[in-house]
Amino acid sequence: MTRISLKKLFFSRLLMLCIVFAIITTGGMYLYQQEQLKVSAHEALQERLERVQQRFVSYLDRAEFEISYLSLQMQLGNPDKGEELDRLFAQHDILFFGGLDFFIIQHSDGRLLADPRSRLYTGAKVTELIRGSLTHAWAVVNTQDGATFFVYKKRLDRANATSLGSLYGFVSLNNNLTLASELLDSADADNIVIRDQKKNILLDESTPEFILYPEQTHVKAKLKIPVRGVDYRVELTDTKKVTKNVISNVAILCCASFAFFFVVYVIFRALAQRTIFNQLDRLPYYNGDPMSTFTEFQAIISRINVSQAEYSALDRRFQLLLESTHCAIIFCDELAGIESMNKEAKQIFPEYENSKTIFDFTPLDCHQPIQKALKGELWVCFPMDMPAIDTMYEWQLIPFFNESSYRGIVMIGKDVTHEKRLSWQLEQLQPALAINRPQLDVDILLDELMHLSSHYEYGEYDIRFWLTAILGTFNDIRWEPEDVVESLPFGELIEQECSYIENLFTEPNGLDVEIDCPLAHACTEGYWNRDMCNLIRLFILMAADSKKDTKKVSFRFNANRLQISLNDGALARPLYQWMTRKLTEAMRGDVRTSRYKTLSVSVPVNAKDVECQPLPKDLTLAVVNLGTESERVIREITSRLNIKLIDFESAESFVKLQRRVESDIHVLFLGHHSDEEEGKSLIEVLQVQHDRTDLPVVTIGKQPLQSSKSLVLYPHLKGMLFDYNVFRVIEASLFKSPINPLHLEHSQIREEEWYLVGGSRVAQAVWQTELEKQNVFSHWVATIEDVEALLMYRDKTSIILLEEADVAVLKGLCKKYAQNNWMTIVRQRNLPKSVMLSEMHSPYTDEKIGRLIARLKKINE
Amino acid sequence: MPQTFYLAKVLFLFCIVLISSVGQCGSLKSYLVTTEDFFDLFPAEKVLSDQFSARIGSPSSSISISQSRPVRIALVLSLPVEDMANGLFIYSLKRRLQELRIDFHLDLIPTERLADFKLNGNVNGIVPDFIVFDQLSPAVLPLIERLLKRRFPKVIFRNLVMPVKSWLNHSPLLYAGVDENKSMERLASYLARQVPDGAMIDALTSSEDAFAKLRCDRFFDELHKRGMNVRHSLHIDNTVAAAKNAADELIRQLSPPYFIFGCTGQLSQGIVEAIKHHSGTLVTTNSWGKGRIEIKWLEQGYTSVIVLPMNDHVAIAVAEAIKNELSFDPVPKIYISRTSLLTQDMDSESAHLMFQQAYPYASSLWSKE
Repeated sequence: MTRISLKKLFFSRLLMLCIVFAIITTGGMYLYQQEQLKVSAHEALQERLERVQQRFVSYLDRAEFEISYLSLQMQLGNPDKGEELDRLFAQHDILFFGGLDFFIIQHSDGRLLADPRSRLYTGAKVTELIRGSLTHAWAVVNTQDGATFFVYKKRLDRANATSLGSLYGFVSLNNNLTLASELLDSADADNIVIRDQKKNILLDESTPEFILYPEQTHVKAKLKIPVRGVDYRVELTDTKKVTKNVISNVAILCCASFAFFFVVYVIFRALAQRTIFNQLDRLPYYNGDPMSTFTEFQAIISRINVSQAEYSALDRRFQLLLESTHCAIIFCDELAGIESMNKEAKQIFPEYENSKTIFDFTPLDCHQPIQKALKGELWVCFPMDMPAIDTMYEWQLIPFFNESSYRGIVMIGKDVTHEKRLSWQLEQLQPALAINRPQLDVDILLDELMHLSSHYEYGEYDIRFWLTAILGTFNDIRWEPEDVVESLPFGELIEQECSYIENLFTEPNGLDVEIDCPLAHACTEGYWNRDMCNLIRLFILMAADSKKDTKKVSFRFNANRLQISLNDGALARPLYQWMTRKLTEAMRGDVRTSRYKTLSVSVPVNAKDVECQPLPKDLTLAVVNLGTESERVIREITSRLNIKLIDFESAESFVKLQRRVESDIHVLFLGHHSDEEEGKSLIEVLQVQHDRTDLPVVTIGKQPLQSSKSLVLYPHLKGMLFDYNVFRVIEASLFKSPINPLHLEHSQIREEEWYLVGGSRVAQAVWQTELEKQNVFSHWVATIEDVEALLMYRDKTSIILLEEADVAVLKGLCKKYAQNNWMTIVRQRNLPKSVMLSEMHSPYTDEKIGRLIARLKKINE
Repeated sequence: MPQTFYLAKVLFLFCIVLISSVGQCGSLKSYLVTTEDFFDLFPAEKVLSDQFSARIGSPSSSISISQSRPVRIALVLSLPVEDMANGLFIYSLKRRLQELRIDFHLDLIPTERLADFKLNGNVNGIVPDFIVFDQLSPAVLPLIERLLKRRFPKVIFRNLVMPVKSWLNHSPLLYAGVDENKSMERLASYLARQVPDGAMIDALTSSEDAFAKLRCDRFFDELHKRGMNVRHSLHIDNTVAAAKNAADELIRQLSPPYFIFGCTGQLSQGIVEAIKHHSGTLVTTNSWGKGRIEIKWLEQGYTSVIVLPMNDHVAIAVAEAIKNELSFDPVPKIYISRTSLLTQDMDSESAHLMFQQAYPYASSLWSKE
């Protein structure tokens, strides 16, 4: 929106108005002038009318004089009859341009004597001409042929004698050039017309200029002449010569009027400027009583005053607020200069008077938050310690847009000295006060319980587990832990907790949580209190509850802090998160969630690094009958621990293949499955084999429901496998002498060992029993492929196929191990030639088996 | 011839000087406003005049106001005091004034006392209130103009009905007189009817009285208008003797005129004398109704027509004007009294009656005779 200056607008309008008026005035003046000229011309002409009259009258006078003279001539001269005219005409200098046009003499005897000139004027009879004449007065005669004459009768009286008669003098009106030109001359006009009563033109005379110029002034009047019976009108017309100086006239008028209006404009402008605009200019600075200014301004001034009053009232209120709140408030502008401070702020910063910006008197570490706030960051808070006045202030910085649209900040500082003091006191006096320990948020607990009750996939045991775990944890969390006198390696702690949870857990699969704690870290010793245990337990619980496939809890020691992280801990339920957070707070650590939903906790610890005794090199670990998962875990652990791992799928395979192992088996991990049917566990077999009870065997897995006596002698690893507990157990086992399968091999050789392939367990059982009876040791393998492992290290043996086998494999095996005796009891197609068939159907009786065995023995021999 | 020639030239120059000094044409008429023109200029005057005429005709009603002193009236006489016209006028005036119950004091200023009046402005030590002039002559003109300028005493004219142009702003109280133009017109038309074809009319004119001259000129013009012409027109002095001689001469002509027109009363009287002398002629003349004797002339056939102005009415008009003026009533400017024409075919009884009518008061004078 363009800004319009009122003053300029007014002056420009004024100027335009003045110009318009000047033009109008010029036009008006010109027209008026023209009118005046016309009127004056008219009046002048009117005046000249009078002259016309006079001239006419004088003309008539002249004519009358002539008549008198002529009559005198007649009276005195007493001419003879017939000579009168000659006599009279002898005075030709009078008669030439005298006035009379012609005369008629009437003698007393009635004789008429007409001037011969009369014929020139009219053809009327003389008697007619003289009929209406009056003695000593002019009268008018109109003849038949349209001539008009003025006639004057004069009696030719003689003293003491008869009168001669009368003399009639005639003045023609129609063709009287003399009269006309005299009249026109006297009128000083361009045209003269004399009309009679009937508006007939009697006399019309004009100057040559009459027809040239169009503009004419016209006057009419009655012609007052001393002629009886005459009511003539005379019209004068005067042409106005076109003045050549119209343009100069107009120019002069123009200049005059423009000059005048210019002066008016200047005066008016000055006046307006002085009276109005100066006042208007002064208006914004006027801060007085509205009554003492102009009435037009009163409204504005009073409004301004009202606004000001409101504003100052608001300001006062604001100041009141500033002073009455128990905060220090500092207003800063965009350059961090001080705008205003309240009393408390002034008290805090007494040096504010000398400083320009707040940076001058605030301590350095406040500057960063102040800068951040100036840039627009909201809710910047920082605490400030003021030892000089023994107070602590909590400052809050809020940016805002001030009146010049720049960003300023307001700093609000609260005196938190008391609060802090009190809280310090509280902390120091009563560390075990529940105020330091987390208080359960009831909502969270209720949420958790709702969750547990509503999720149908949890069985009753699950719920019981969870509840026990949670409540136990919570209970422990709630109370301050006692001091621990002895230090433990960290791994122990982990193991404890794992086993605790495993105990509670009823799932046969185990918790399935991976513990990631390097050995070095696990060996760290410290005085671990209940809190630590609970923390670990909590993490493991969270991990167990996690829906992820791989659940990994990692433990790391860094400087003096322990960091525990769970890879999807952030997705745990609120209760766990809360407990973790509270516990961590109680332990003075901090909780962090990473972007990848990893929950990690970092707590300060007082621990000492203890070097773990490294294991001796070239250790061999044999793993038997472990599940895939466990086997994988063990494999990882052993690779980390630098231990050679030999993996046997089952006990039988171990027994059969233990001769293949070149080295000693320092440790044997034996996996336990609860669904094993028969008793003789590998341990017992090995015990028998090696004829000792101090085997370096470790049982892995959950305790079987039927615990055998033998098992209790050996350490048991339940729960999760991780570096430390594996390490421990291996370390423990190293005290026992290793299993030497070769030794075993040497000590005890079975002469004959036959292999049974396939078939049902019943069949296997029957056959093995039978073979045992025959004093043949048998080994059963499930499929034909397993046999190869057994055949590898054997010279010659018998293999009995109890079921159908893959022909190709069988062929291959036959080819490979041709020295062995291959027999099958089941007919099948495409049997290799080397395989003997001795068909036998179930039930397998002793006889049949005995016969077969005998046959085979025969073959062998 | 050469003498007359030389004389003519001298006269010519003289005339030029005269006329140029005058400026306008030298006739009296140009200085007067005709009655018709006056009434055209001032229509209200006509109304007033008519009303006034009605008053004249009716019997007098006495004046309503009371006079503190008698009103002083002065009469300027141009004719001798003993003249009949004067006597008739004065008598009528007095009678009417008395009837109007106006206290008056009448003074007569004949011509010989006029100079005295001119000097002193009073007559017998008394300054008159009203002054009545019977003639407009150049001699009294300055006096009149002085009086008019002063507006005191008030001026009344008794033989003039044509207001003077120059006096329109300082008008005299009353122009009272006889309508001459009309009377001449009537006379001319009567004569034109009466005079048989081929009969001649002669006239005797005098140049003494300018107004008489106007009258006569009018008569001649009217006659001329009717196609008749005056044959001989003798210009003589205004005396009875000269008129008698001239008329005698005219009658003794070879072809005596049928009618001789006498311009003034004197001339008419002279003509009558001449006709008496020539007892056998048929020449008649006119008379001007100056006295009852004219009826006898009419009976005797010396005059064929009497132009009888209602002269007494003029006197009555003067008295009434004075009365109006005294009682602050409006006075018309002009009063014109009628003229009647007494002809031969009127019997003496009616002629006497006419005379009676013309002179309601003055006729008693004659009866005294």
